[in-house]
Amino acid sequence: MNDKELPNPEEWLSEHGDYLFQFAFVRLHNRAAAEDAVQETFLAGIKALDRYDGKTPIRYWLRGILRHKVVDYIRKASREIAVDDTESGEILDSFKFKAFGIAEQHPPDWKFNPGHAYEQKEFWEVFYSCMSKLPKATGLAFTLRELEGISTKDICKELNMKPNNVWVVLHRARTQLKSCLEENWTRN
Amino acid sequence: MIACRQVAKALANHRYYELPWYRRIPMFIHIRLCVMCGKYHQQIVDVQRGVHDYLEHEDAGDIETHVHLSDEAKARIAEAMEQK
Repeated sequence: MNDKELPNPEEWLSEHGDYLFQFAFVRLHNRAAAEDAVQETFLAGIKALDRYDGKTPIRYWLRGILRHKVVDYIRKASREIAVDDTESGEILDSFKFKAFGIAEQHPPDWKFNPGHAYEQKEFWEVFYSCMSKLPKATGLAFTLRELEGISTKDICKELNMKPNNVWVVLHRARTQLKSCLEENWTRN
Repeated sequence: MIACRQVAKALANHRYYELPWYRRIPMFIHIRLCVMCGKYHQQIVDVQRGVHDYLEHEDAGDIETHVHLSDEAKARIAEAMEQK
């Protein structure tokens, strides 16, 4: 930054603290971990402030740091948590099959119209809440793939899982998310 | 013709558009012809679209939730920042 003033870190907590915490919480599924990630982000931001070029709004610059903290946390947490990736037939639980693998009954209908719901601002609070409530192990894999766009190959490395098992866990996350939305979004 | 069980498993394990073309074509035909698999596929697509739209709203900063930093956490973070 040449002629621009450096942003004031004293204002970061009040201006961006809650935004960054929400961002971390939905990804980490753990309040204490999300608070720590925000704190580490601010400290790393202060340390790297001379490298801030002023082109990106400070909130997005801090969010970029936070993304790395989130992935670091998941990498560490994956050594401590066991991800249940057993298939146990649940992957096909929406279907009943008859002979030759032909489906016998329809998967249950959505209880609301996703097209309408996605247009409504209030829906996204429910969506946020449902993503936050995903069980930790399932939720962390979901965060890496769906929210951070990390490839299955890299998730396998981070979580020490086989590719098919990653997809089992992701499918489970999507199914749980769908059930939670159906339960908590009652408007149509 | 592939069976519904194979379609359901493939959709659970992969994103449709990430499948190689030689698997996507029979899947495409099956999904178009089979009401049940078509519906199942649509539900998966709806959830993925929800996540995509959520990220756009998050990026724009217009997700309003009741999730906030606690006062204790704010005090702790402020103290850590002062010491830096």
